[in-house]
Amino acid sequence: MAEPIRRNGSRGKLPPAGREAAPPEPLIVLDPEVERRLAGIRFHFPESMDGRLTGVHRSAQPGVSVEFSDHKEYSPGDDIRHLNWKVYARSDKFYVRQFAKDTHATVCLVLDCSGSMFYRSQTVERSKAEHAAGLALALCYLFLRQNDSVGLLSVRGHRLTDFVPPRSHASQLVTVQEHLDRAVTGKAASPDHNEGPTSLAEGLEFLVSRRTRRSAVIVLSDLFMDTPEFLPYLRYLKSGGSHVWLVQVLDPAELDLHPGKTERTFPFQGAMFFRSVETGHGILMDARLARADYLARFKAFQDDLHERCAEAGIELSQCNTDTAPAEFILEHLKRRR
Amino acid sequence: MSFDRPEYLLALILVLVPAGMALSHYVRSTRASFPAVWFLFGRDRKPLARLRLRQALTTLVRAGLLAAVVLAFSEPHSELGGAGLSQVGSPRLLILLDVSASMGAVADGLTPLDEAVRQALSRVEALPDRGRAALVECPGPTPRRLLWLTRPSAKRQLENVVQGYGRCQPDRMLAELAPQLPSQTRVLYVGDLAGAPEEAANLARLPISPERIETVQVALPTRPDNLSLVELIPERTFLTAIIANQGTDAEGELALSCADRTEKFPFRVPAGTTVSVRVAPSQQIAAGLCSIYLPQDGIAADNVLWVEFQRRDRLNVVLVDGNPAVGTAHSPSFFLAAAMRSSGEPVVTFRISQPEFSFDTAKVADMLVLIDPQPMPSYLEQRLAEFVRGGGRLWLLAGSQTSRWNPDNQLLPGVSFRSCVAVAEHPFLLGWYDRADPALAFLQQAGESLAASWTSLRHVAPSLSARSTRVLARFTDQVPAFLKIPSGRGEILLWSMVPDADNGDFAYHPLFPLAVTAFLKEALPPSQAWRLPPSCVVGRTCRPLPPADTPRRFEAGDDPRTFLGASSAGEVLCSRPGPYVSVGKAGRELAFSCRIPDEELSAVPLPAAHVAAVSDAPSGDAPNPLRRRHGPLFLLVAMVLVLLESWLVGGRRFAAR
Repeated sequence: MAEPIRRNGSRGKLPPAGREAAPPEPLIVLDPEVERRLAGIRFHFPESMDGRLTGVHRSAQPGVSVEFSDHKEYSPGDDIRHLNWKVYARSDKFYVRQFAKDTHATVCLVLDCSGSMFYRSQTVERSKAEHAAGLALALCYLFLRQNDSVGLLSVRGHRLTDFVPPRSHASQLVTVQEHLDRAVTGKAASPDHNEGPTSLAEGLEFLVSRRTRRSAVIVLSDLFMDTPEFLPYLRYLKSGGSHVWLVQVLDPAELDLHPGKTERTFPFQGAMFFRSVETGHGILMDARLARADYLARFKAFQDDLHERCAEAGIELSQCNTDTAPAEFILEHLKRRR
Repeated sequence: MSFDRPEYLLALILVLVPAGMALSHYVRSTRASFPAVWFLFGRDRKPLARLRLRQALTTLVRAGLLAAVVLAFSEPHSELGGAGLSQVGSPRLLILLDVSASMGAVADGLTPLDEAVRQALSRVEALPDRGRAALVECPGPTPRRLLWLTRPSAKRQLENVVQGYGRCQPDRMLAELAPQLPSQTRVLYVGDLAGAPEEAANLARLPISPERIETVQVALPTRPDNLSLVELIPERTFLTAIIANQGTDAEGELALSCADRTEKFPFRVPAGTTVSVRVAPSQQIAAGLCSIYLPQDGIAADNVLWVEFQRRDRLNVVLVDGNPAVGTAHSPSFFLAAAMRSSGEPVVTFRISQPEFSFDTAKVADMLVLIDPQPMPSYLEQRLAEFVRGGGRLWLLAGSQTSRWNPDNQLLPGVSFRSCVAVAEHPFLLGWYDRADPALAFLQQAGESLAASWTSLRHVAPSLSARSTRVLARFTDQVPAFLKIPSGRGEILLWSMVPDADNGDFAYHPLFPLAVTAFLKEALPPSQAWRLPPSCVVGRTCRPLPPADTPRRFEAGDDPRTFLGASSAGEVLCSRPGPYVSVGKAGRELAFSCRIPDEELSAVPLPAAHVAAVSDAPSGDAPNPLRRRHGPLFLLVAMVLVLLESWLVGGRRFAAR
């Protein structure tokens, strides 16, 4: 007898009916405000996408539509209905008209669930991981609305915690929401547990191994990791025609992106013992004296990241955890226009 | 070590302040989880043990810093000198004998050194039988260990003393010897104290009891004849010698001796004055190392100086004729060569046609004359331009062929010529010349009417873009007759005309050979020259030579058996006056000379008596030079500790475990 199939596509025994404990309140839910603000919004990728279904993105392949794209010299097998007879009359050569094609996109959301993503300062309500999950859910909602396939990959430590294959069905929103909730709450329940430094590269390597070409990859992370380690995978994806978007999620205490408000950044005083949530080690420093050094190093890190991404043609955005997901998406679209 | 202000030591309690601060600051740090810090600073984390070690070191350094400052203000000092030295029962006498150059002044066949030796011998003679004496010559090396001699040995050593050439500084030498002296040693200084009158006062300030120091000043009355050869000033063809007279009126002959020929030049110097004497040698004098000396007098050491006389061979002038087809007796090269030969300058002229001319030909030339040259290939122009920039002299006589020169030529870039032709009834005259130019002095000497009668029938008007071009003379049509164009270290003299038989009276005019001679003298180096060597002072390190890869050795010019070494940095330290020559492939060449210090020779202080003892009058407040103050040392330590503290603390305020 075949195992029952869950809503998220995984197989396994279902819990016995009637003995199921009351499910806890989900942490990651789609805000009605997000639905309202993103209704009617179209998210286009600059690259040509490769899909079989009709969608809103430009396709890499010529197709049948009313929008003329190019001429091509006739070769046997081409549809003679598209022959341009006027050109033939003038040049005595056969040319075939080609038309643009709109297709749907395959979007893969990569969520970094490393220990550093669970940091939350006192001035904000949500940790970086929770905020990234909310942002991923909003993006999922937006893409599913425009008939794109959306998948999810969450990375924690040196292993992949979850992978939801891309689908374009409306139920995918619920599946993604459940997985996001599990990824965030599962980690939040044991924030001290030591899994070593997170390797985003391994998650991206998994994506590369799936031969995803002409798709979109959106990475949500604080990027507190070795840039040269994961950037080659993104560069490889980019070279395959995929659109790569890095969203760096930062807490205002780490770096306040709002102009003119630096007082929230590094709000520590006196002797501090900073403990690493990933390795368990710590650093002892005089916070008041080290603040300038911290800002300088963070700026250097950011500059280096921007420079490397610009060099690789990768889109990089920064987002504070006190910025609403819908607002960030709209702002991003506005900036791209 | 003792302290002048021990009450300041109470401030050492301040040392407790950093210790207290370290204890009070030892608080537990606040724990926090902040991933960005770990990510940004994690690579620089240090072990906690290292942090604690640094904190302990910082506390220690701060405490040491305070202690050093307090100790510095307490004015610590220590006494050096006779205290603690071994006591020797036999009486001892240290003789510090001045053998400096001033002790060699002769009067009535005696020198102050003779008198000083006599005085020292009498003191040695007065020693008891078991007494010991040590002799130290000043100037000279300070002995590391004094050699105490019996009376006969000391007397023999005194009788064999020879005169030195440097300057004696007895106070310094005694200060160095003081730690070696047994407590009851008597010190006898015999000398003239020339050149440094303050030395007598300094002797009294030594850490040796004044009663133990006996100072005997020895000097002879001023000699009536005390001449000194102060300086030599080389001119173009002669030498000027400056003679100073510190005695009575004097006259005599200044001798110039080169190789085996000596020429004499009479002089007369009134008392207390300085005169200059012109030393113009004859043609028979040989080139090489020469000495110039005055007649022997009371102080003979300052009567001689050395100089190198150089005589150059004949200079080659190559005349390149752009019109070789013109008859030999009518070509401008003929007129120029004739004028050059009659100039009296040691020149040899070579006339070649322009087709024969190559730069290899020009390599042997000291001066090049291009007469109406045709346009030349660019490589030759470039080589000629390099020849001028490198210091070569070039005359360019511009004519009709020169007018065809390309303005892009490399010798005179941007030049163009315009022909100007006059009729024989109204020729161009020499209308204006630069009276300030020394090369044109012959025009002034000839007179205005003669200068204005110099005519030209045809010439070219040059147009030059070089800003440094200078016009020496102009014709009445305002065309420059002669132009000077400096280029690098050399110079081009541009004649705007060709002095041939057809050009008016330009080549036949009496001013033509005078002009050639004047320009030639200015262009060519003098046929003879004087070279003064770098001068050093005996007993003082100097650097008269450029650095070299290896140390070098120089031969004394007046005694080939004596050598003097120079370090690779070019430093020498000579111990006797005289010239020093380097012996190489090119022969013997004067490298430098050594002179006796001026203060030893300029004025010898004279007491009224023939021999007089300087009274020992120590001043009560005089500082003891051997009393070592350690305050600055502690301040230096404090500064080092400040730097150490800033290194330990500054910029390294975090550590990790």
